Amino acid sequence: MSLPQPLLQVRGLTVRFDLESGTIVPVNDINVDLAEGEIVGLVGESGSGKSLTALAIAQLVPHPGFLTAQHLRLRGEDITTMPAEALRYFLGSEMAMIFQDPMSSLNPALKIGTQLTEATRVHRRVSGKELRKMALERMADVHISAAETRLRQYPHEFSGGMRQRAMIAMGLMNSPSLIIADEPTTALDVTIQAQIIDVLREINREQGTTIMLISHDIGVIIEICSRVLVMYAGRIVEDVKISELMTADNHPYTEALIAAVPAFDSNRDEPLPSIPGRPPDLDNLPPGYAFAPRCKYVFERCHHETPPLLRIDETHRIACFLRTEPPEGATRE
Amino acid sequence: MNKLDVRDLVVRYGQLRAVDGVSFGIPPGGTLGLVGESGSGKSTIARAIVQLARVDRGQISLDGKDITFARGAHLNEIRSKIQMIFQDPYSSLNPRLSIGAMIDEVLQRHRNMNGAQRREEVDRLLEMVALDPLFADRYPHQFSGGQRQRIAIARTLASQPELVILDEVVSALDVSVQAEVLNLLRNLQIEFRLSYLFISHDLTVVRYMSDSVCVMYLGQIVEWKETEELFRQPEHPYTQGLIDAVPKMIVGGDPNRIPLSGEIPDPHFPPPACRFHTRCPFGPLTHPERNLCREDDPHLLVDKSEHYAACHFPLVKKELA
Repeated sequence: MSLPQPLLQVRGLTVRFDLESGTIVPVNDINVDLAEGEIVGLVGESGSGKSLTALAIAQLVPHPGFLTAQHLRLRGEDITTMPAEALRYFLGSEMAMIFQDPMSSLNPALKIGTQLTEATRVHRRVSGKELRKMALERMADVHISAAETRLRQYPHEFSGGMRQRAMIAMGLMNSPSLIIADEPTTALDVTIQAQIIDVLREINREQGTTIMLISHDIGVIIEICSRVLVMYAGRIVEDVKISELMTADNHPYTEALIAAVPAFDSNRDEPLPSIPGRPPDLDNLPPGYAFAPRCKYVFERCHHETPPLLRIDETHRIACFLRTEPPEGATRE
Repeated sequence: MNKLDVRDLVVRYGQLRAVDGVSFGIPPGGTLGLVGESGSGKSTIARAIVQLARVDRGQISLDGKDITFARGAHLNEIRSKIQMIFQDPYSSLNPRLSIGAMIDEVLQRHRNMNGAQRREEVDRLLEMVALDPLFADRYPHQFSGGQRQRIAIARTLASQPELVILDEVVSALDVSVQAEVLNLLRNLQIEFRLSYLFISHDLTVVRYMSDSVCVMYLGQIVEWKETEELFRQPEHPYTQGLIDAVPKMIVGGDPNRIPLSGEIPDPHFPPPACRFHTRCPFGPLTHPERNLCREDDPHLLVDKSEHYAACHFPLVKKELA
């Protein structure tokens, strides 16, 4: 039986910045497939390369960044070799991006309705009437009430939560197959965050849209995603099904990341488990594995070599020698 | 006697009542948590305590002494006893001063020490927050977010405060760093018997840090409880809604969650009577017979000198189960 072709196939995705002080590689050899209809989380601390990975997938690497990849296929089409004009049309209809701060992605001088329909006007031949109908439907998808009035308003007349809903509605206009959402709820209150998560979940369920959700908050990812990619210092260190998270032997970094979040049932008399040290500077990476200096299970080999991301079962990849090639006598206890 | 007492505090910005009749107390060495959505008035309370916002009504006392409108020498004395740390240490640290000079400035103002003593004290304070005293000559931009927050803490300790107001101090930090800063704050509290007013929008962090918690909505405290009790058995539907909204590390989300609909109303025009009735999943929206919520202010019926929930129909048992 042949597996269905993945919606997104990323091979060897690398982003390099040649700076005066030297070359840094904030995204380093990313290999991943996203199946149709999946919600995949991408988690990591600041500087881990998660946002840049998303930008790279959308071919939006900022200057002077340099993207290389074996291939980057969306619906089977390699977008790294597509001519610019074709790429614009292809991504414009197949992919949507949602960012943390909707106010800076919305034009303050244009009505919401104008902005919502802009991409569709560019990418498709649709009548004004049809366009308005589509906009109203998308506003309904994200549960914005009084949509007729709302479309005639400007971004400053919207609350933070409403702006993020409008951004999602805008992303949905061309019925994309992939939505990349970069910290879409980080600037919002928890109650509004919960509402936005519900909207994303609903879109995935009802329209089958594949979602890549980038967040520093592993709690949010566990709520909504079916799978998570954990990034550290530019690399994916673990790729695991959410249902196996916390039950399987996870990457020591993933384990520490989960433990550091205070939970409602954590013991208040105990100190919170923290991860010693801090994420490395990309222009000053430690020799060997970048996570080694902070890992509590570290052993000699980690200080010299970076473990490759290896598949240990059908739904689990991990970059950790302890799991893939354990040395004699090593344990996780 | 409480370290800090706030009684019927009202702070107005023009027509807007940012804080509307708030009362609470913090015992010596204790931590009171303040939670609520943005615009609920949390930070305004903090600003009123340190006289950065003008108090319209009510009383603030430190060790039982009224400090609401303290001036002159008395104000200077209070300023050494009450210190505040903000979310973004970068914007509250002077970029042109080395961190040693910054701490020295506080020592000169509040402590009677000569130059040699002050240099020694700077070293001691940096060590206390687990920073190398050799860093004293460096500038804020040379430090990471977590280290900057440690510097802000060291500078705060320099004036030997008794009450520290912590306003979203870990909100900008990565989780691994957040845990370290929280642990440090707890250790320092025990060592110096500090009282904390801990303000955060993050309920899990507030639960971890606080002995008791006030939940704020549109300028009022809707529930004030001992921490464990509040999280185990919230009585106010808003508290329940906030707790439900927090991701629980449950795959696929908490199936019993009752989502809060809508957003916080415009604080210029708060709803009458119970301000939460326009969003309450247990109020007149779903129970039309609960007219009381639209007619009477539950805040008028509670004794605010002790723990309370300002609700006409408190969730006595888990109505959700």
